[in-house]
Amino acid sequence: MLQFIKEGLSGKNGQYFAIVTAVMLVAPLIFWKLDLPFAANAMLLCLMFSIMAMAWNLLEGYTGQLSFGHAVFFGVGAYTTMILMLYYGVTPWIGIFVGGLVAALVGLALGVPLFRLRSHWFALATIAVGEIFKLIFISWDYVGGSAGLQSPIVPEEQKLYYLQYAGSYVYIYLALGLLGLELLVMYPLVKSRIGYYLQAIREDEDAAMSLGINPFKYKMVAMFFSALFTGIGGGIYTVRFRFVDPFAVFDLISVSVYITIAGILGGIYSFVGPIVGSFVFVPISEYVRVYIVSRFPRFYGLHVFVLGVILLAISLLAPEGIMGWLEKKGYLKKREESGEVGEK
Amino acid sequence: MSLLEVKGVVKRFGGLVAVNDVSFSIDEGERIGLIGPNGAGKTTMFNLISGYYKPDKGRIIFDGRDITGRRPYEITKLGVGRTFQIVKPLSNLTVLDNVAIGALLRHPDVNEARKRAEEVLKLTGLYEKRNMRAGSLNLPEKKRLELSRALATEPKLLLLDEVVAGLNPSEVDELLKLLREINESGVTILMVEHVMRAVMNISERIIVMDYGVKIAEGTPQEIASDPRVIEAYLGREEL
Repeated sequence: MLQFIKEGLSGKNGQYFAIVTAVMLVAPLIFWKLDLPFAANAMLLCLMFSIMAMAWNLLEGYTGQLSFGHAVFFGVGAYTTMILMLYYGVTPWIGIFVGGLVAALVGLALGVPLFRLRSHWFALATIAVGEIFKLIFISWDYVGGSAGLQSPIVPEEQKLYYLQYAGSYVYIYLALGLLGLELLVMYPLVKSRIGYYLQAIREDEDAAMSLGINPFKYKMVAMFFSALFTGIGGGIYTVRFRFVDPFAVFDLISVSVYITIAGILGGIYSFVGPIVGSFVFVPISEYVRVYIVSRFPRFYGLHVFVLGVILLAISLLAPEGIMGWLEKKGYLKKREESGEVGEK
Repeated sequence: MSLLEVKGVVKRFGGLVAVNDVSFSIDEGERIGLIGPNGAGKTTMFNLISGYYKPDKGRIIFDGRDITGRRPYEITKLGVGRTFQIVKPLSNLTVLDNVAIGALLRHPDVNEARKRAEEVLKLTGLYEKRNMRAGSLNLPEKKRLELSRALATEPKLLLLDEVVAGLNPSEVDELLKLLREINESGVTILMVEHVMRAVMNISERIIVMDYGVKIAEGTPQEIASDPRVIEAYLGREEL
């Protein structure tokens, strides 16, 4: 475990990592001092989507299973955290992790039927599952039905217990900590035997089986960790916005597809690609949503149009995402030393 | 003691009987050739042994264990390595990683598996290309990659599906020499091959299939003069 992390942080990579970490730690202080709530909120969303896009990419980039249904895990994580807090008085410090775990168990249960399907059939089925979850939660009274659930404002002395703070500043540090935890889990995972096996499954399932790999078993492992951290992303959403409703958290476009675009934009063959993608895509989308759409209300839905433009730009200019493009331009070390990397 | 026993195996695809009541057995350490005209059922036989197809009838015993209907990855773990006639490289991974993934089966530590993979690649002559993307190899190299990967799983029985096809004569000799070395190190070999020179040269015993049926079995000399085999390949002489 530690050995992989040590290797990963050796040389230039370690320097980049230190610089980025320092910037991330200082940025919210600057936003706070200069009173920039929009920037702080955008940064929080970037981190939240980083956590989820990286988790999503364990399934897509490493295992080759394209999911358009990660809103399921996001929503389950968000609802679990909320219900534990609201009905049972459980602190979100625990609830967020329970939410992740419940999402992971849902992932395993869904994996049994879903992984019987290959390639685009799998992708289509994940869309259907996402919509089914939305409908179930809309008509489920225990979780507040279509109105959703809202947590009340708590008195000053309970702020820490219920993780309730004004603005996004404190939550940025929470999200940073959780992203750090995810890196600590994911990096050794993809560098170990499991990571190699996942890639073998992505490349060719028949060949993988001839090498002693049980594709179903390892897809389930990928699903577990993917759903776990996506559910944790949902928990962050709950504590930040204190309000969950089925239309928001199970939304196909603004959750499932956003995660997908962040991942693809950053580059699915890169470990940190989804983080880069989130930090490029989420601010653009937020800017369009908050400033442009609010000024021209007749153009509601413009932020979805922007998605289309961005997708078009990726497919034309950088089919392997930002990280793939940087590799090709020679700003980053190539995955193979020979330089014979072709277009996929 | 026989390492592999195939007993009365039948495989149908719709109305077509691809393998019809075929039985044979292979002893430990043997080199066996499986030949026959196109569509004889050789690759189907391989897929049955390695678990990619389930037989409709009959039993397959490997190393004293009934493996009939077991999944391919379980059969690999028990010690059957195979190559694919239509090559299946893990295209976006390096040659070294392709082979290392095979080695991970017996060596769960990644660094250890990579070391094993390097040794295998030195043996099979792909070491110089270890950092290339597997998808960018040419066809004979991809066939050797198939062999390397199967070897890395440290099999007792190696099923080779046309690894010689597409090689030039000197490359064929080189590969046959390698296969003998592998065999001498204790690996039993069953190979499907169309290149007669190669299969006659290396096999101690040859099994001939035609239209899903085993029509002959014997030493290369016996097979070469067997009228049923000649008929299968050249057709019946018209009077």
